[in-house]
Amino acid sequence: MSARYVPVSWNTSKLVYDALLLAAIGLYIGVYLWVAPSFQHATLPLDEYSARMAAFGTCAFFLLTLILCIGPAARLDRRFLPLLYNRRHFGVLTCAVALTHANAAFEWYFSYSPLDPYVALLAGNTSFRQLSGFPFEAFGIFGLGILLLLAATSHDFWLAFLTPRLWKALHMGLYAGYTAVVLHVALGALQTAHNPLLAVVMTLSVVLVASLHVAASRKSALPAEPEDGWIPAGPWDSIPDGRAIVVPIADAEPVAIFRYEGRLSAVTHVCAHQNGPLGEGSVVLGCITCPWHGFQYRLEDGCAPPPYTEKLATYRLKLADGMVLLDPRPNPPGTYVEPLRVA
Amino acid sequence: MTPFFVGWNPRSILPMSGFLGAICGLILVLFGGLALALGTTVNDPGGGNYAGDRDIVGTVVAEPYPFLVLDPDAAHPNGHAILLSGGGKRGVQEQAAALNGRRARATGAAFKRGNIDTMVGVGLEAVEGPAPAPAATPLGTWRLTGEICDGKCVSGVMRPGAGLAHKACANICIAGGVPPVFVATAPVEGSAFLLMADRNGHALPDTFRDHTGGLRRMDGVVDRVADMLIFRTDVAMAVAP
Amino acid sequence: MAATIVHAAMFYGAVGMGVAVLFLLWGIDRIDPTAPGAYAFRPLLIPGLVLLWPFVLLRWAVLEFRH
Repeated sequence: MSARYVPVSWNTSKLVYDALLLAAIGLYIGVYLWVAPSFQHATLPLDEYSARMAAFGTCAFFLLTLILCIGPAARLDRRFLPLLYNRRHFGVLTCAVALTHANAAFEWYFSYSPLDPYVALLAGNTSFRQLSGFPFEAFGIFGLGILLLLAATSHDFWLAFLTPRLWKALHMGLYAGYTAVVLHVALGALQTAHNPLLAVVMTLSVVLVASLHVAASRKSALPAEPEDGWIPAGPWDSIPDGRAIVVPIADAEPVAIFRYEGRLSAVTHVCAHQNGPLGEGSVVLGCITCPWHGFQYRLEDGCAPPPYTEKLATYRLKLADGMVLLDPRPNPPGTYVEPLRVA
Repeated sequence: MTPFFVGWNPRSILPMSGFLGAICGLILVLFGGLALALGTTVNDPGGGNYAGDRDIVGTVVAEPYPFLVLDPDAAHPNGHAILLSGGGKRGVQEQAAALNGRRARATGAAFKRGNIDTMVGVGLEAVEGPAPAPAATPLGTWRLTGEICDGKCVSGVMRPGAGLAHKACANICIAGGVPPVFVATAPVEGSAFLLMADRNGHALPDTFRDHTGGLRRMDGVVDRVADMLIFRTDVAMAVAP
Repeated sequence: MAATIVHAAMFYGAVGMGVAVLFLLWGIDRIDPTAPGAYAFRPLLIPGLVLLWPFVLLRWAVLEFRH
């Protein structure tokens, strides 16, 4: 972001989003802790800490599952894009829920002993050679560590400081975190669960995340072979007005070719803000607009309109027999390229 | 043109608001439903529960783990044994060793589960009076299947206070001096809860750690001391059944 | 072993706190042109700075050199 930093940037969309998220979390925790016990078939209810661990732990798992589903769902159907818009707040809230779960476990299982509680956490269970009885806490600590790291680096400052490429790579760590959380539950709660419901729901969640990612990845085409240094990108009239086609390039970032008011312009497919898929965006108010956070760039030179300072790499285009040809060598970000007239 | 959402323009959400409303509604229903389904099918943590603060007098036994034997009465002709532990995940080994075999008053919070009685947050002080050695009866060699738990959590201080999710806590409790209890899958002479000891009747060696929380089969000797069973075994030889 | 890890983590965190204070009071204004004049957001950066301080120092040095 090139405007002055603020602690949290809220707008109407984000406020509605956050309110809905809090409602979902409140509903889950409320029902789990205060409604469900009336319907339990147990001799006595769970103690307060154990109930809190179970409620916040499962809630964090479902929130993580949702977060990971939003990306591929938005690629498959643009109507999901509003859910993607505020994923950072979603992530920070999920981290807070996971932290509440971890704090209940820490206070209940690892405090009040002759040992320092942090030492007790690491030394309490050391049966690393067993599968049943494995210190599943280690996976929980790792998963929580990743959530904390991602939440701690969620401010726009970190995007600029780490560079979007590195920031995005760091935040892909969420997949490692999710894997750790699945192992944490599988080797912990599921080992002693008498009812198969949690196992069934967890398996379905993992299958949903995996299948959405597979379906979304099948949308990407294979790169075409260049002819005389130019890549055929297809007939110009196959590009809908105000939208783009994405041309994969071997060993390089894909290129988005936009059509707007009878002219074509090519820029990198990768948004300078958070590496969002620009080619899945639209032209809004005469500017290329990223589907993730609405960052905008001019078609002819890839520059964000003032006062913003982000710049995209641009590309040269030419037309041959109605076919668009693309020079895959990127121009330096912000280079002016005369749009190609097609109609 | 197909609808396109731009975050900074809230009106751009209008063309897809029906779809999103349905998705959000579905997520809310799913969250409520999952919370209800998972919250109602939790494991039964058993019936161990707080049984009030108590102030009792009996004979202190320090080994293998501290317990107090109350004087015989009509319901307990050999006396009634109560496991003792301190505040938090601590035992009362030091206090009990100083008073071993002597008559003492124990104050603390009582917890009861089945035929196991424990007191936690225990304070001990010597009192005058007879301290008869509790009656001990050998019950022979047994092969038992069950779970090694800490006597404090499993008796109802935590619900649940057993299982693999609770394994680290059980280890910390037992290492801290809380009496370990073997919860047998089938009762032995009417009791499913047995205080654990090593082969020689002392506290368990550190190898217990790899065997808490899950089901184990182990061989050993069972003795009855007052009305409590003590399972003397080599915990390192425990195997998964 | 566990105590060593905990001590190492506490040492890492303490150094991270020092780096965070130094960076937020002095460094950030030198290497990020949009930071001067904006202060309310700075406390939010502390957890990240404490977690990533070795990398922060490296990046700070690189950006300082570039300026």
